[in-house]
Amino acid sequence: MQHADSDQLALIALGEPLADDAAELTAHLERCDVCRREIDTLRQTVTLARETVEYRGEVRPPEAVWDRISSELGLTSAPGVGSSRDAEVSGDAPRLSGPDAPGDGPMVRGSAATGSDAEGAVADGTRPDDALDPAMAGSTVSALRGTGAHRASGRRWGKAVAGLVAAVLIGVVGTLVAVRPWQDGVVRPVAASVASLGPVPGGPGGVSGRAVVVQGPDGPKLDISASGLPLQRGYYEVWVFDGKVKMVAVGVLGANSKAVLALPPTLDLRTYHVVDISLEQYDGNQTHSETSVLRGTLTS
Amino acid sequence: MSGQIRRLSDEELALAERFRGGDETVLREVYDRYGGLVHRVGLSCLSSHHEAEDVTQATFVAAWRGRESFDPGRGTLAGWLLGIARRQVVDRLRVIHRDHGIAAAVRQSGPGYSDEPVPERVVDRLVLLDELRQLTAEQRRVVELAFFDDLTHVQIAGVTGLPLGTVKSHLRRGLARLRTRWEVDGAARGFGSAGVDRAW
Repeated sequence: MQHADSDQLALIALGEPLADDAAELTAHLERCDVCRREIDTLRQTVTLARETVEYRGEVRPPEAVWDRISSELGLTSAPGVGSSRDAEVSGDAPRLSGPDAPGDGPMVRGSAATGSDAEGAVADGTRPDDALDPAMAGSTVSALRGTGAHRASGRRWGKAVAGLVAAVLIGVVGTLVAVRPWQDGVVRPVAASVASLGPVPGGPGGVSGRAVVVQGPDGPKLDISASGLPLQRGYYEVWVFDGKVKMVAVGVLGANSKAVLALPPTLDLRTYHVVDISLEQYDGNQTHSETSVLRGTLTS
Repeated sequence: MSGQIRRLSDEELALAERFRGGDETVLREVYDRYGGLVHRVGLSCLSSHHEAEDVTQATFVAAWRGRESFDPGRGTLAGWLLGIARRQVVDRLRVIHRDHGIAAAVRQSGPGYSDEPVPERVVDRLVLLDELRQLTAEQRRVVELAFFDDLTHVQIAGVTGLPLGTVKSHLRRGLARLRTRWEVDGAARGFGSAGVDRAW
């Protein structure tokens, strides 16, 4: 079979179920790295684009900022062309974005045909649970975590993961090499923390990976590669975890199950010493899905 | 990938040329056009309103002083500005880190800390936001119904009255444009990469 057509790949990346007669396509995707890479990249694009929902309101810096710019640069021609827009600023207070900020929440938008209430219903009611790989029936597109919406019962793995942290860490090999500050503009893979990642009890077997903390000119990054991850609807997200309750999302695993992700410069990896990869769905919920697939620890 | 850079609109090109040429009045136009986008970077990554304003100020000041280094062949003006803003934010986070110490920073942030986005991801989102805004109204509506309302292409056709083929084509092309823009201007690749060329 030739490569899947690009309309089809776009729909898959958006999370649409495959048609009933798509057995041939499914078989092709299981074999074809090119198409899978394409889907991976498109999925990452979709994920990022969906995250722009946080920024839907208009924001303008206060006009005083322009005055300071103009004055610092000694501009002679500085009429406030856009000063009338200044009023728009007030409604959008600075904040850390995230699910705890309901005021600027998703789906509040005039052009949409459906509101936030309808969204769950649409997703739940009209999408059969047919992931790319039918064997992975656990990956529903519709679970709206934290809203009480019910989750599909077909999940095979992962749900009990949160309580199994202690067990998870057994067998994980972690090596702390060193963490040195970046000095001369060159990325230094030499200064690194390393963690071997392994399967999670109750999760899929045959998965493995490696996480390396790299000090770069822009701060620390987590260089991650994994193998054996099942082809799934949704996306794989990388977290660092304190081994108890606190988790920080650092980004999405990219094409070929690899990613280089910036870590918050203030993050203390002695506390957040566990690297975790979870399967996440496009459900607007930014908290951990509790479906971990890979884990490992950075020892200190 | 540079061959795939989205063709800039004539308006964007003209703005970029005048900007590089040092026409002072153009800075205000650039500020009006991209000030909100740049301001988002500080607002999203820093906890203080004032710090966000400082980032925006510093970004436009640095952009103007370094305007000759802007190369329209490498990406868009918006992408370049966002890259500068990101580095401003990273520098400030580093100072905060030094002033308060790692432990204090983590403690203060408490449980909400996990929601604090990393600057690179914020920039990636904003690059896509900028691109979304440049889609045609119809294409944007279709793409947004898929992204934010999670409708299937069949449902979108029902809601908009557009033929199925048109909806699919809008989705494919819209997604392709966003992807290309992300590849050109995203924090890991474009101006924001600070010379670090690493694949995701």
